[in-house]
Amino acid sequence: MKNLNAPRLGAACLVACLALLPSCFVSRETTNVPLDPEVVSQLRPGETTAREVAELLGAPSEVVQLGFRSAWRYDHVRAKRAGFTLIVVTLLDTDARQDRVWVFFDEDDLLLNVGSTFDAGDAEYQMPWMDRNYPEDDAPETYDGSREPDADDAPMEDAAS
Amino acid sequence: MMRAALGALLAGGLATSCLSVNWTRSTLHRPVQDGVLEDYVVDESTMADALDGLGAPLYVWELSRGASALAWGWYGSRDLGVQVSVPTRSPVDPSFQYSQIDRRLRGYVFVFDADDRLRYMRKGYLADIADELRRRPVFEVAGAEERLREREDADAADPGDAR
Repeated sequence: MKNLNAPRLGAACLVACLALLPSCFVSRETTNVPLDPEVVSQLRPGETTAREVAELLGAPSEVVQLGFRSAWRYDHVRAKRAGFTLIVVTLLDTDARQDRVWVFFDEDDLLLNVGSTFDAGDAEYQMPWMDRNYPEDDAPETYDGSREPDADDAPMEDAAS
Repeated sequence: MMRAALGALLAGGLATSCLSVNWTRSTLHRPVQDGVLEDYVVDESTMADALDGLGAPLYVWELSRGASALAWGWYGSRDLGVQVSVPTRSPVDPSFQYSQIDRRLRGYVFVFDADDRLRYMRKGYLADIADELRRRPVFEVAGAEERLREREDADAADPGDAR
């Protein structure tokens, strides 16, 4: 009897797997080309000029005028989404991370400051119950996305003092 | 029997079109560390210090008198809910726009003066802080208060010159 049921059970599992497979999906969105940390490390505050930055990194995504000075932004975004839908149940996870570089120039277009962040490569396909791979120091506060302020959001006067 | 099966099939078909149970999570950018404000000192820390510690900001914008505001932030949500509707779009929007500050983002805003010295910092929703800075450039108010205190001290020290 068992020998007769085993192939049926296997076939039923196979059919179930084939039926569920189309309900899984993954997608990836990217914006701009990835930024190269080695290229960014060549930027020297006090030495590098705006022209040299443009030659190394290309045209910026944004230019912000700061009085007589300016700041340029370079960025690359990678968003990974994974989901699963079974009849009325939908599980969906989206992880969007970014490489960013901001360069600040003085009034003579000489590089003053550089800030860089390279996180786009850490974006992951996950399910909602899985833990993100943030470094321990960056463990997020738990919040539900509502726009109620936290108790520790200091009022302006206190924060400025 | 046949009627019950058809009824179940119809109910199932209707249910899938308007009833859904969603468990979604969405994160945008890496979280900014808690307690960042403790690492920086107003009137002492510089923009270079902030960029070294926090990396590249999400937003940079100009304030009056050559001052600049830099904002770091992130967004994260986890929702479990039952929805009775006809889905017409994705429940999560992973897109990110620089043209205006994303109202979902929480984090820190630092204000630097024309000499790149930190004059003000605050934690909260970036868009709210930006709105408040546009309405009331606090670092200028703080400077005005300081000048007022100096004038009061001078008046107290020399009452004869008091107006």
